[in-house]
Amino acid sequence: MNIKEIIESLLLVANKPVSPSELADILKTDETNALEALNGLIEDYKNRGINIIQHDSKYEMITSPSNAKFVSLFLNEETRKDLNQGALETLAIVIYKQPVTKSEIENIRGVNCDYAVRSLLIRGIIEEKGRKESLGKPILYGTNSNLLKHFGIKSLDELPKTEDKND
Amino acid sequence: MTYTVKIQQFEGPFDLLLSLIEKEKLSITDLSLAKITREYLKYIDEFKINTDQLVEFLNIASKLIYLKSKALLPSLINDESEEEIKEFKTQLEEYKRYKEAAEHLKDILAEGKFSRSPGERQFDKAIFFHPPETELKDLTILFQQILKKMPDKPLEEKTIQKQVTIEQIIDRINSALKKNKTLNLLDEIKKAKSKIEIVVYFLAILEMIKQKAIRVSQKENFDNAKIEDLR
Repeated sequence: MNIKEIIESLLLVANKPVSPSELADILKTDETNALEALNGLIEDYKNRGINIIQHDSKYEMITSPSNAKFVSLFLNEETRKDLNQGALETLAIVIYKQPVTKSEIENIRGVNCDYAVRSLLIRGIIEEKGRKESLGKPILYGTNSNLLKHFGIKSLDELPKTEDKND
Repeated sequence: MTYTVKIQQFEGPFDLLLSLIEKEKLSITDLSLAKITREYLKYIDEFKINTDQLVEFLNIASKLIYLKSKALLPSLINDESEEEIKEFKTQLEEYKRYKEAAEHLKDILAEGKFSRSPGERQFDKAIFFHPPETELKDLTILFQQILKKMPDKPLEEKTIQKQVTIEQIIDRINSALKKNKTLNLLDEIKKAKSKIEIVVYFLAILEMIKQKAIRVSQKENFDNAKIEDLR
């Protein structure tokens, strides 16, 4: 049984990001093996028209960002609309401070962020990540793999670090 | 030849502050913040900021004015405001970092790259799913059936009574106060034509008390209340 080949097939049909533990369950193996195979696959696919991305410890097969132009021609789809300044600032805060509440975002930006958060949610590039254990149990927001696909990057590590990423 | 002046829209008070600092080639220090106070106030004054955001802009304005006065009168400073200003600068610096990060995201978007997963459709595209055997004529029949079910008679008409506004009542109280220096609350309320009007009357009284236009006093509980003109 070639774990790597099986995982390759599973990733193709998954239609959603898959975690190593899900794969390990099906393959009746342990997570380390699954993870090792996944990392091998990422390496194999590095310079191909298909890439494998990882977000939040889940893996997904995607078309290579460098071929975006032709993919959109083929699908006959308009390339996505741009995000406005407010949405981009909000997104930047979510990326670097996640999980983060709306009021924490508003503290940093100094303005109401209802609209910006909603537009990011509608585009599906951020999502709810549970609630914060504080007064009023506010919703926490974080990024998902759609963000990577939307921006054509393979990992959040491709983005530059900001100084206070760990506070 | 006509010139068009482009007014830059700012994403909130910090955005405005940063652009002023940049324009003057300053850094985020007490002193340079104090320097741009005038520019900041000028902006708030000249451009109509929508009311949702005005509070946020004014909050920052008050901090700038504090900094400015501190620069002029360094002896009159207390620790509490000092702490607040430090926090304010940290906040501004933090915002600056995220603004730069947002610029970077914008650059990435401008490259026009994206990825898709196998079989994935764009999430914001409307898709119509119909049962497999449906044909156009089925839809036509269904639509005709729906049309038949539509009621022919016109919709029932209902009218809403026009109510008095707080402004109208305030006008009324004002003109009554012009004639008599004091009024009796109960006597005034008796003139009301409906329950709603009594409620609006009370709201008007509260509004006028808030504006310090009148004083309302009462000797004891449930006693008649006296309305006095304070102007």
